[in-house]
Amino acid sequence: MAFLFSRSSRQKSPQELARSLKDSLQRLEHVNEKKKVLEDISRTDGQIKIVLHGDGNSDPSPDSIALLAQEAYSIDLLYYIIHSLPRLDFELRKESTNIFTTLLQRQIGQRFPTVEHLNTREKVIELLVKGYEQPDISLNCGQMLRESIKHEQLAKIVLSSSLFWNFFDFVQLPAFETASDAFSTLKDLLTRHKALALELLTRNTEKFFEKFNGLLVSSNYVTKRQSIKLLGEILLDRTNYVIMTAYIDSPEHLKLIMNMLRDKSKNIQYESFHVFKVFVANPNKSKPVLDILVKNQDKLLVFLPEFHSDRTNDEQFNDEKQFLIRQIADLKPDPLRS
Amino acid sequence: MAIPRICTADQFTLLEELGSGSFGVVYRAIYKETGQVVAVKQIDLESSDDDIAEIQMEIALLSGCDNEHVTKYYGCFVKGYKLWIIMEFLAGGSSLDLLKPGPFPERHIAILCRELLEGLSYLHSNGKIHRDIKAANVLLSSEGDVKLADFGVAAQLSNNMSRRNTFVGTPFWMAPEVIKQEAYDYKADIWSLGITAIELARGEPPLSEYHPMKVLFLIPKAISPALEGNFSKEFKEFVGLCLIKDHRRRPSAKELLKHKFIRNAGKTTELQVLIDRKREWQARRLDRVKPKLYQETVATMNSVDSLTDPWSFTVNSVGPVRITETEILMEDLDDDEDSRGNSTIKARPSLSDLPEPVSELNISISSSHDNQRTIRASHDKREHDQVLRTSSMRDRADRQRTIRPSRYLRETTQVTNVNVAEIAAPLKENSSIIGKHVPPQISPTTEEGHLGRKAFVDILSTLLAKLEYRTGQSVQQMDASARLANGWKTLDAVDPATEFFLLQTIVHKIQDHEQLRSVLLPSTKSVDNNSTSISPKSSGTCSNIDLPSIPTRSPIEQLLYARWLEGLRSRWPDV
Repeated sequence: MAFLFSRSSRQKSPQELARSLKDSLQRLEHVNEKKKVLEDISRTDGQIKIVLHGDGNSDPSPDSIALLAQEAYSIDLLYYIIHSLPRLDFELRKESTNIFTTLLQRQIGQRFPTVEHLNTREKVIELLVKGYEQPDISLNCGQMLRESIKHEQLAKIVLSSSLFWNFFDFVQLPAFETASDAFSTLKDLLTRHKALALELLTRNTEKFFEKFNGLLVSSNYVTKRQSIKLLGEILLDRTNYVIMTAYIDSPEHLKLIMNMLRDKSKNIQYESFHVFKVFVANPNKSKPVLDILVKNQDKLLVFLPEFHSDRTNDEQFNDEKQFLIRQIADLKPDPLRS
Repeated sequence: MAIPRICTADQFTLLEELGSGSFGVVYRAIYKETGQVVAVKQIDLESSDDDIAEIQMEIALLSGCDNEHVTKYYGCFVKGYKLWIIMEFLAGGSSLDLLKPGPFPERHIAILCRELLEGLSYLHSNGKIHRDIKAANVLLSSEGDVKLADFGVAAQLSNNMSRRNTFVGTPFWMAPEVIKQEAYDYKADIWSLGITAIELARGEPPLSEYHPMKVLFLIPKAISPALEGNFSKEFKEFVGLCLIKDHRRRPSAKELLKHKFIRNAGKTTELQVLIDRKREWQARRLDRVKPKLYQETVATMNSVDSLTDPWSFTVNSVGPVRITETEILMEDLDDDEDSRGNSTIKARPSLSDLPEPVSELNISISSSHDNQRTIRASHDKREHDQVLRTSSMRDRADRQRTIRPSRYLRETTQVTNVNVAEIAAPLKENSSIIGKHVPPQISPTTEEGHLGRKAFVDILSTLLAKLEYRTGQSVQQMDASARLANGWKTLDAVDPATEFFLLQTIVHKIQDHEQLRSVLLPSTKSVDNNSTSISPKSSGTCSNIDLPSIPTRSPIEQLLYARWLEGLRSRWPDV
């Protein structure tokens, strides 16, 4: 009841608000009667919101925001905000998420003070990643995490630690909303900061594709369809050239992709084509890859002309398909290397 | 006991179909463990060309709502190609269904409007815009609770972005600012609420006698519709407030909740009368529709099985032979560092995007082709939808059809790839969209014919175009102008000689008419005063007339405009 507290409680300073929120969030862990504490939190959240966004009539004051943010950093408020999420109710989780993302976006010139703060508090990012394990808070955590990893420093915390590998489990969770949210985060991690992603891929090429192939054979249609598309994007990104050449040397990868060309789903077939084309277009095919293609030459020459032949308007696709057919027709077992 | 967030298909028994649309099919279903009745919305992901990310948006939006005025969301999962969304079942049905026996009494509309405003106020304070408010999307429980449904095109405004300009909604209910693709906000929902109120009071939204596509041109230009008929002053005033054309002056949901019409509204339980009324009406009808029962679809995806046997992978390989050219590769990498920015632009890298060693192939393909793929694919999907629908339902369903965002989003992001000149030609034809087709122009053969054509080119064509682009008229007035313009264009196209004869006769008759002559042709000099727009060289000097000049658009705008016209045409053929 907004009109009640504005009269009864005196105006708290931004620092007091930050301390009071942390206080209530901590208390939540110990008390049995949560209702009263949740009411306190709701009230404090409301006041913090006014500091951050203004009250509709007046704009927020940068000075007050600075005071609030400084205090939040020094008492580690962001950690407590995430830590207490499971114990909050639905609307309060949204409030917490809002406070977190608003502080995250705080910018002074070229600096993002909250990002700098979080960079020293890896634990917070870790909590956000682990949030995917709890269905009730997974979407809140996902939202905050994606907002965080827009910043390279924070993405690095995930990409350079074992946290990253958790995503291969998260994207296969049975709840669609959690799994697909985790997938968007995974995609952002692998495509947003290219140098960072390349570093990860170079260090763990084998492990990465082993994990990734697990997604490609998932029984979940959405996982399969989204990951084959992402694979195409990763491989065909110029930054990842080294990774691509390593990938297309492997006959195991080729087998998997050739099977996916014959998947029941048309969408998956089509996305697979865009990975398959790289194997065929490679002028320096590894012997095992060449062997497989030669061995299936006749079949491919029957298969490809019929492949998505109804896509008459997709010029790029048709040009590429024609090119592949020519390449495959010209394939000869490599006399030099055999 | 509540339904858990994580659930699977075998926990539900699907019963009859409740409705279907471009989004998929909704079934009534039972949660086996507790016997609770729920609604299951199934979206076929394989047949949808939309990015799964967009459907994910809808889910995220739904799951971010917990309010008694919004249909409750329980959870969702994937089974086969289908996404199952488990939602609260509302036995009362949609207000559109409840309208079948006839329009609602005013007292019930007041209750509905109050409940809708409560729901909108919740959504808006959470930074969400529904964007598709209409009777069909307002559901009632058996107790008369009113809930907002179908978040298929809803939008979440983030902290950074408090406005949208995506073109979505259903034409009859769309706010002028949405149609004009201006930046819009929550107020767009208020307009749609006003239209819905009229829909509930009269059985149909305003302009329903027109084709949905035509309505898109009428709404921004015409004066706002008003509630007419035997209704209270308060109700009419309430609708008038919702339908203020300037969205900045249109009141918010919170403000409207204080309006007299809303404050005096009764309890929601009164709405049960509407549900009973519908039931009786249904019972009286002889042609009762049999419920369609759920049938599991058998996947019939035998697409590319020209091959009977699968690939043969039994190759005697001696392990991968790695070509060790790491040093060269590292150099390549360094080059790429500089051009990193470029590689993110294209939606799908083509073979020609590959770095040199791989792409010694000669395919030069621009990424705009990919553009066409996505767009055309959505066309196919729509055709598919239409085939599925029974023909008797078709018209009604088409009118209810929501325009979804995907295409337009995609176009706005990729638009830079397209050649503007290619688009300019079709746009010219489209600009006279309000009229019917004009036959091809013949070349005049007689002297009269030449003069008639000259009069048309120099004077009339501009005048007619301006007539069509006039704003602030009623729909009837605009329609009349459009018909005249169209008729005249047709006359010019097929018979410029008669056109000339007509003009000649008019001028002569006016000259012979004492009173008209003194008004229309008082002296040769002051002619310009009243009819500047008719002057052949009207450039620059005609600022003092009522007719505004034809709005000019930027090339990008023109292009988008032409594109969505094209899209709409394929949706509603033959305007």
